[in-house]
Amino acid sequence: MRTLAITRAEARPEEESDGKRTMTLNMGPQHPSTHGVLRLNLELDGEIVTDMEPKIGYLHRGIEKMAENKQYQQVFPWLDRVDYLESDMNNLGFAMAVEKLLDVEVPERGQWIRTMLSEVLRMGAHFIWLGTSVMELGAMSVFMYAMRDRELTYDMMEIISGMRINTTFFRVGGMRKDVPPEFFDKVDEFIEVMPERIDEYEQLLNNNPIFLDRTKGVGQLGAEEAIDLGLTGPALRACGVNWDIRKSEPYLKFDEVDFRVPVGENGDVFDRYLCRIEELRQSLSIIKQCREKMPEDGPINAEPGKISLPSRSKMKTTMEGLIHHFKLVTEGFKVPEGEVYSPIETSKGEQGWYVVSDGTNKPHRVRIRPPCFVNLQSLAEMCEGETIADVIANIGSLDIMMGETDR
Amino acid sequence: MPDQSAETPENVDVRHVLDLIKETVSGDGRFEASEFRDETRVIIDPEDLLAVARALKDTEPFYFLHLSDVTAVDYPDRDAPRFDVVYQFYSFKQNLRIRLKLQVDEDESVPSLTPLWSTANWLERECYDMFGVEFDGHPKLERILMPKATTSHPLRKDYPLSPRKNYQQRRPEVAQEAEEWGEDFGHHPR
Repeated sequence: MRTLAITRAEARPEEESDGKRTMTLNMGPQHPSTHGVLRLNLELDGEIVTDMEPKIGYLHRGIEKMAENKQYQQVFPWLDRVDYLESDMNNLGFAMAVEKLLDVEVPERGQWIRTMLSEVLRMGAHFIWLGTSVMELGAMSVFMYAMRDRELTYDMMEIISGMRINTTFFRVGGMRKDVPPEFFDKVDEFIEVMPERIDEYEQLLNNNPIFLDRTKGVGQLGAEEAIDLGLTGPALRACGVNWDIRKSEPYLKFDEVDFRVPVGENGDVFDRYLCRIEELRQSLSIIKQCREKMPEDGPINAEPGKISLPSRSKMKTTMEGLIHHFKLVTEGFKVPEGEVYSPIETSKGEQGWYVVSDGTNKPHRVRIRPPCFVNLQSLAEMCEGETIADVIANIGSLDIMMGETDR
Repeated sequence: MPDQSAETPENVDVRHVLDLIKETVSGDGRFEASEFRDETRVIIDPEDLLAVARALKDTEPFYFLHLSDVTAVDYPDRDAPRFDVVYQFYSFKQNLRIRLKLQVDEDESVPSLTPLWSTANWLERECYDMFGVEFDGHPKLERILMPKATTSHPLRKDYPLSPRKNYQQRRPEVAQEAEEWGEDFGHHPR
């Protein structure tokens, strides 16, 4: 077996028909700028990439297979590990698909909390993207600032769920418990400090000549090309296509909040950067509106006792509550036969949940349409004819998350 | 270029799409449309897939330009062919989604949509990898997530979830393969 080097250049000059020599360079899977375990087979002519093929599958854990063999509520901890930088977003997508199958609606307050948290998670994921992708271009200080701000979003998740990363907070029909008042203090603090900090990022980067040289005109894609390649999310919007699932097929409370969808023009690395930075601002504004519009009190779970667990006090004091609790924990609930496809907009793009139920308490099939998997396919298109350094800029700008690519 | 904000010329809904698909399928071809939770799905014959997909993509005013997903579902115990191959289409212009389904058996193959959408390339490779559904006309039908040496398809229902003691009897070919990789499958006490 061949051993893996961190980056192993395999000098294998091949005589081509026109006398040109190309070299195959193997990049990854243990390369710090491949955002996980991505391997790229690059075909190089000097410093120019003539051909490339991403090799994936190093992080394949068979999450779809395991989800088929668990009860609906038991699937959630697995789904945290799909896109582990915004873990609850995956739970949200699955919960919404199952709720669609069950035809239940989450109560008002539950929906507002979900909307708010999905934006908090989106911002957290965007901070990681910002920090890592810009660090690879040499801006080390931005990475430190971005990690500082990401920590604020993780603090919020910690207050509500007790965990920072794999939070497993959402459930079918609602969420694990109501959010405590301390959470809102944290949100207020966040809303207060963030606008200034986002401006600070832009001051650091937007006029930085090195950053502009490395990003402008790099990895350009046209709108038609991007649609043909199935790109979604900020990478598609940077190409000039105004499409955001939160606007076109509004779920949760996104039709009641006011926000703008940033759209780029050139489809290059710089436009993807601008789109995401603007999305940070829009997400912040959504969080602010959720804070204002959220009902002070009220139920958060749909049909307690039938789908979601009854409250702790009910379980301890009533016979019915105890029976419901026992039934739900041991055998779960049955979902009517059918199939749904429920897409949500994550920080990476369209994450589609195709759930097929056969009428039992376990799903027959759970398919995750991974935005990263599909977006990664376009990397070859972006990098051909560019230098090897631009490959790094392109990977960063696509916001690849290998946990979701391989599942 | 599709623009979401563009004014739609007429009020198009999913019924018009169904009419279009019905017109496109060949004379006695299969056409079974059904609706569930406001989602429409249509079952057609694999032979009609390319024509229907091209019609969905190119016909005014629908323009289903976005192929969002290709996957399959395994039903080993039913009378109909074993696999459902599922396609999800989306139209930016009309903000409509439609799902196409084909039913194929293990030894049958499906026409590839790669000539129409580049995005179908990896999606179909994954479907082949996980279910063993073959796509005709695919430029490079190889495994994408599993190691190349794998011979089985993990998302099929008869593929075991975890190694068990009686693994050797239930799936000898998989156990054989594991042994070749040097893994100690089947020796874990459970």
